Amino acid sequence: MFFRFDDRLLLISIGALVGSCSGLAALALNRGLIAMFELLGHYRHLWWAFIMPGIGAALSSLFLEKIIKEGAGHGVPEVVYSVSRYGGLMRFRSSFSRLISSCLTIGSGGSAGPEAPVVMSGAAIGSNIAQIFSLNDRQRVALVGCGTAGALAAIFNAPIAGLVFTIEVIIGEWSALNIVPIAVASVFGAQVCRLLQGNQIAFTHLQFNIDPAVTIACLGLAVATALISIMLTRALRLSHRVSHHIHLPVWLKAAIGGCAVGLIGFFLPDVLGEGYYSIQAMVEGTFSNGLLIVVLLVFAKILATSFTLGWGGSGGIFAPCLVIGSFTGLMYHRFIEILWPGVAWVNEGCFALLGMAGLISGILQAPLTGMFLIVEITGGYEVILPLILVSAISTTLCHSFEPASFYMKDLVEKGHFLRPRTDARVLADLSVSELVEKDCIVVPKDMKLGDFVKIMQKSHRNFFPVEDERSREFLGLIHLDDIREYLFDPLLYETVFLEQIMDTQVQTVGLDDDLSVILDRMDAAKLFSMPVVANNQFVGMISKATLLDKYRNELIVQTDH
Amino acid sequence: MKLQLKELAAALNITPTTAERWIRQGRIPVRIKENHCVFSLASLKKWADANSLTYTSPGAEIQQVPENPVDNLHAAMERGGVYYNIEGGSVEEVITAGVNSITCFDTQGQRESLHESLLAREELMSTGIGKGVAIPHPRTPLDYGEIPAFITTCFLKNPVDYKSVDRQPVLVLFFLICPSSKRHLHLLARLSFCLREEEFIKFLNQIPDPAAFFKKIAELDQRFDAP
Amino acid sequence: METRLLHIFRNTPLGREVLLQSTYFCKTIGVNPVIYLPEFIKFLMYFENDVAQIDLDGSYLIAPETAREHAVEIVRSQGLPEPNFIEPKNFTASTLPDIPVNFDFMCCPRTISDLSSKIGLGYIGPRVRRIVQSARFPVLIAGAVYKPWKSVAVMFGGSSNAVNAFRLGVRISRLSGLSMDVYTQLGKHSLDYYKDIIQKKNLGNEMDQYVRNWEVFDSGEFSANLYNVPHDALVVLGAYGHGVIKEMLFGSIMEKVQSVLPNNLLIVGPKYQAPM
Repeated sequence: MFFRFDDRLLLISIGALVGSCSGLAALALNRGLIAMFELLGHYRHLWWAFIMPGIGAALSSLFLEKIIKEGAGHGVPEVVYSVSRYGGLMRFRSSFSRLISSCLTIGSGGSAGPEAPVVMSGAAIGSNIAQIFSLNDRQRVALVGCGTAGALAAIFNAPIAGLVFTIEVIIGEWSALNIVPIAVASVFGAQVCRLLQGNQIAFTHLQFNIDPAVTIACLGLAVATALISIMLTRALRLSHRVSHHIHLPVWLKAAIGGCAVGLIGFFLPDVLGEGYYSIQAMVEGTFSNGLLIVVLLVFAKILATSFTLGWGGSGGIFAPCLVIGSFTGLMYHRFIEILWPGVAWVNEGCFALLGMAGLISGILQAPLTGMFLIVEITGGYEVILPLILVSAISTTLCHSFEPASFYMKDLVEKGHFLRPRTDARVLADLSVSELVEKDCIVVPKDMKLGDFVKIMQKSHRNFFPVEDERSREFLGLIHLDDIREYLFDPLLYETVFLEQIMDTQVQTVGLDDDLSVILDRMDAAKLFSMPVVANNQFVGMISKATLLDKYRNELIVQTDH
Repeated sequence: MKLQLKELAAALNITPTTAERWIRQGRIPVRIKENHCVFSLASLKKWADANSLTYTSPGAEIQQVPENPVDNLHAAMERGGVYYNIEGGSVEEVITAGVNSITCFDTQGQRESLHESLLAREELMSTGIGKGVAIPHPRTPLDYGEIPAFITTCFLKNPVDYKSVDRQPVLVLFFLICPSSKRHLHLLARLSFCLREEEFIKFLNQIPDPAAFFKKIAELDQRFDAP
Repeated sequence: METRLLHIFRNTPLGREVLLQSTYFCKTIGVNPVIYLPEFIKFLMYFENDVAQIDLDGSYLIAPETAREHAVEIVRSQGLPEPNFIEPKNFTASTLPDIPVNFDFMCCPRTISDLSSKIGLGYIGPRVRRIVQSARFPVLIAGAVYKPWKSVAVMFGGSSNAVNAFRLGVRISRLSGLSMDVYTQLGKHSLDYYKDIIQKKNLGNEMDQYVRNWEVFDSGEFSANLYNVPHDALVVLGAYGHGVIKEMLFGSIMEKVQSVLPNNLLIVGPKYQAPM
C-alpha cells in the first residue's frame, strides 16, 4: 500500500504493466495479420479474389455492430474524446474489439493499418487497469497514454515514436508527470515485442548520402506531400459523407466498400492491405514502375483507403499514410529526374522515406511523430536534416488548409477537443452549480414597493428575483438600476406591486448549460450576470465576477504539477 | 486527517461540487475513503499555498465569527460618557472644552490631533444639523489604535451660535469618534434616527440626568433594531 | 436544489406501467422526473470510475413518433407538471450518446437490455446490476404492473450498504409521510449486534422517530419470513453487502429479496452517497 503515497512510483509501476499488456495486444494483432495473409495468400490470384476484402469488411462491421455492439469509429478520435471529456474512461470491450475487426478488414486485403486499432486497445487496457486500481482522472489519463505508447512502440518496434505520438496527439500536454510513466510503458511495450519476435526493424537500414541538393529538393517534396495529405483528408471525409447518406445496413455498406477496394487491388495489387511489402521495395530502391504508374498508385491508394475506412471497414490510417507517402516520394523523385536528368540524385529510397514523414506529419499535424517514427522504423539518422524540414513544412502547409487534423476535426467541430491548460478545458470543467451565488433575496410578486424598499436595505445585491408565492415559479427579475427612479417616491410605496416593475424578459440559464455557451450569451446581450433557473424555480445568480474568480482558481489548480 | 466533503470544502472556501471534482480529477492531494476525505494536513496546506487557496481548520472558523458585533448607540455613548455645563461662547471654545472632557484617550497627542481635525471639519462646513444639535466629528477616521468607536455627549452651559442649517443656537454636542468610516456611518444612521423624533429633541432640551438619558437611548436602540 | 429521477421511457404498455410507477414515486416524495426517449439502441453512462454501456432491448425504439406525447400524458395523469426530457449533448460515437449521471434516482425495469419476456421474479438483468454497482444514486426497480405503495420496508442486514438503505428509508418516510418498518433476519449475530450498529451510526433517534416496527426474524428461512413484508410496501435495501467471492458462495440478501418479493425495490449500491 505504500504505492498509494507516492503517486509517481505508482504510475510508473502500473504504467509498465499497462505497456506490457498493450504490447502483447499489438503482437497478437500482428500475428493475426500474418496468419490471415498466409491463409488467404493462395486465393489472391483467382478471379473472384476481389470480393475477399468485401467479405472481410462486412464480417468486421457485423462483428463490431452485432456481437460487440460497439459504435464504430476510427479509434484514435474516441481515445482523445474520452481523455478530453471523461478522464480517459473507456469500455472494457474496446480493449479487444478493434483487434479482431481490423484483423478481418486488413487481413482480407482492406486498405488500412493496424495502428489505430492497437492504439484503441492499448488505451482501453490502460483505462481498465486504472479502473481496477480505482485511480483518479489524472492518473487514468496517464495510464491511457501508457497503453497507447506501449501498443505503438510494440507494433512499430519504435519506442520513441510511441512516446511522442502519445504526448503530441493523445494527451496534448508535455509534463514530466505524464512523460515518465509513458516513456517507461513505451520501453516495456517494445521490449515485450522484441522478446517474443526478435529485434526487427520494420524496414532495412540503408546508407544514404545526403548532399545539399537533396535538402533543397525536399522543399518541393514537402509541398507535394502536403497536397496529397489534404487530398487524402478530403477524400476520407467525402467518402464518409457519401456512405452516411446511403441507407443500407452497415455490413452491406462495408461489403460494397471492400469489393471496390478488391477491384482496384485486382489491377494494382500494391494498394491492398497494410502495404509494408511495397514500402520495403521502394525504400530499397527496387520498385521498378515508371512515373505514370506511380502517380496512378498514389491516387488508387487514396481511393482504396477512403473506400475501406469511409464505408465501414475497421482500421487505422497510419499504414496507408506510409504507403501513400512513399509513393509520393517516389513520384517526386521520378519527376525531378526527368526535369534535371544530369544531376546525380540520391537513391529513390531516400525520397520514399521523406515522403512517408511528410504525409504522416501532414495528416496527423504532428511533426515530431512523423520524424521520430521514420527515423526509428528505418534505423538511421542520416536523413534527419531533410526529414525535419519536410515534416515541419508539410505540417504547416496542411494546417493552413485544414486547421484541425483528420483525427481531431470532428472533435473540434463538436467542442470536444479539450486540451489541458486551455480555456475550453477550464470552462468545460467548471459547472454552473459551482458558480451559482445563492445570496439573493427572493421576493414574492404581490409584495408592495414599500415593503420591498425595506428588504432592499438588507441585501447587498443589485438583483432581486421575483417568484410566485405558491408555485415557487420564477417570474422575473428586478434590477435596482431599472427602478431607481421610483425608489425615492413614497407615493408609489403603497400602490405599486413588484409584479408591475419586474423585468419578465430575462434571459436565464439552466444548471446543465455549458459555460462557454453561457459566456457567449452574456457577451451577446452585454450582461454581467444571469439568473439560474432549474425546473422553473430560481436557483441563484451566475456572474462574470465570480466566474473570473473561480476561473483563475481553476487555472492555477490545473496548471500546477 | 479525516473530514466530511462539506467540511473540507468549507475549510478551503470552495463549493463541495468543486472539491468533489478536484478529488475525482486528482488535482488535490485528497482521497475518498468510505464517504470521508482522507488527507495529510501538511501536504494539503502546502498544496493550498501553491494554488492560492487558504486552508482554515474547521474548528478555527468558529472563533472568527463574532467579528461583526452589532455596536449600538447605547454602548458607544456609555464609552464616551455624558458631560454637563460645558463652557464657551464660540464654536472653537466649546469644541476645545468638549475635547478636554473626553477621557477615552491614551495620550495627549491623540487628543490634540482630534482637536485639530474637528476644527478643520467645522471650518469646511458646520456640523450643526439643526434643532439645537451638533455632531462634531473628524472628516476621516483617525488612527487611535485599539480604541473602539465612542460618542461623547456634551450639554452646553449656554446655547452657542453654531452656524447651524436652521440658524438655531446649539445646546447639545455629540462627539462622534470612530476607527472606520463604516462604523461612523453605522452610528450616524442610528443617531439621526433618534434625532428625527421631536419627542427626543424635547427630551434633550430638558437636560436629562445620565441615568434617564441612557435609558432613553437604550429604548431608541431597541426601536431601531425592531423590524 | 431540485432532486431528479432519470427514467428511460419505453413506449409500450409495459413501459407505461413502469413510468406510472416512477411518477408515483416522484409524486410521493417530491422528485422531478426527467425522461430520456432513446433514439439509439445503445447509450453510455460515464460514472465516476466506470463506464457502463447500456444496450437497450429493441422494444425501447418502438413508435418514436408517439413516445413524447405518451410520456407527457402518463406523467400528467398523476397530477405532476409536464416532465423534462433530456437530449444527449455528447456522443462517444455518432450512434452512441452519453447520458448524464447527475441524478438523485433512476428507475429501471428488472431488465433493460434483454428481451422483455424475460422480466420476472428472480431475474435482474446484467446492465441493471452494473448501474446499481457504479451509480451514486439509488435505483428504483419497478414491478411489472403499476401499484401504489403505502409504506416503506427497509431490509437491514447490518452492512454499510444496509445502513445507507436505512438512511434512505428514513428520508423517504419523512418526505412521503408514510410509515416505515425495518426487517432483520438474525443469523450468527444477536439482535444487540444490530442495535449496536444503529447506535454507532447515530441513527437511534431516527429509529425511534420514524420506524413503526422493527421486525426481527430469529428463526425460519429468510425467504419464508419475507411473507411478512406488506404487499404494498416500497422495499428499500442495500445491494451486495459482502465481497464478490462471499456472495457467489452464500448469495446475498438482495438476490433473495428480489427473487421472492414482487414489490417495488429501491436498491442502494456501494457507491451511493447520501445527499448533502
